[in-house]
Amino acid sequence: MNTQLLKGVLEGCILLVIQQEPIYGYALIQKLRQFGFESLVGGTVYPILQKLEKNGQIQGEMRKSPEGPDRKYFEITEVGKGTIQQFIAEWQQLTTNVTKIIKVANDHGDTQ
Amino acid sequence: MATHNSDFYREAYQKIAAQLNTENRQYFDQLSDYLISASITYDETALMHQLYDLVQDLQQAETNGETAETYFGHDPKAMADGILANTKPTSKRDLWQLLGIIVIIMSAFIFINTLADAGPLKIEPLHYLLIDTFTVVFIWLIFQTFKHFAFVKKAHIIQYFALFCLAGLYILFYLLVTYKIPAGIVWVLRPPLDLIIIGVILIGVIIFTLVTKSTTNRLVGLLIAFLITINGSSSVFYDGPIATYLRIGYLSILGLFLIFEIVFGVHFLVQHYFKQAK
Repeated sequence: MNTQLLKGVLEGCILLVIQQEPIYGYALIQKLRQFGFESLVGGTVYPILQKLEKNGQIQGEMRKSPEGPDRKYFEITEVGKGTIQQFIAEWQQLTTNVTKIIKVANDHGDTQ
Repeated sequence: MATHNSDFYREAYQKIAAQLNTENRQYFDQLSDYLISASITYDETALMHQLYDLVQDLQQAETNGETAETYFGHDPKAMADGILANTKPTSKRDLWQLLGIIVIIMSAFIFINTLADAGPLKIEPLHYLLIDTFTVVFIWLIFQTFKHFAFVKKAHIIQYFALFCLAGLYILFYLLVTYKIPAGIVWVLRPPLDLIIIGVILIGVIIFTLVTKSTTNRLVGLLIAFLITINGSSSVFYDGPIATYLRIGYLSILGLFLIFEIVFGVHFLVQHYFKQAK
């Protein structure tokens, strides 16, 4: 997927994953990979996490981790929940529009 | 959200980084060098905390069979720039505090050097201003050099050469300012005023060494006091308008200070050594 397009979508996806349960960086990346973003790397995710935290959409908290020392778990904030609602609405609008265009393009292709 | 100071996170991430395999360690070292070189203009604690989070995740990735490159990606510089773009910059207060510390250390160095000159104590404000300003620029250039070469492969030789050139430039500038550039305004402090000022500073430094709880501060304080005592004694020996009783009195005080500094210096060193040995 185009990197710029991916980054925009990824912010919303990261917020959605964090909304499910507080999670730390490594576990978040693994979860996103399981959802299909297989080639996703930390180099893309960490700056986004930093940005979301800076914007107050998520917040970090040091917690005990089953793997060893304390780790920074991210959890969603009220601002983040608002962003998720906006993301879902925009994404649905976008998919509707794109689906319409694809359908018209396909129909047009069939008639030619 | 930082719950510890930058030293805590620095020690913690270094401890974990030491356990990484060679390839991952090399990748992480470049990343940390780059971020640390930016810590002069960004919040140091936030950056150290970030490095701690990154190394923890990398360690887990390594345990699960990934390399730093497959986990973080092929462009660590882009990731570091992305992180820096969203990191809190150093507060104005911290920046001024840092500048203040540099200016104080450098001014103290110039002052102690001045004490070694024969004759009355001379303060040359223009020289202080020029050297202090250049020192700040010099330190900034060192950080920029580290940042510039952090991701350049096999750049150690070029990096050392650049640092060597910078150090040479700094020494050249220092000598030029000290010996070639006219001082302009000169404040001459004649005896006994210079002796009184030196004495007051000396007492201040010694009180600091007694009050401070840090062994490093204590030893640095004692070293400064020692240098002031040794260099300050030259003011007494010059052939100026100073009464004999003042010379003897001042030398006796300096002598006492010297004994105090040596005894306590050795005491603190031994104490520190035993603490480390335990």
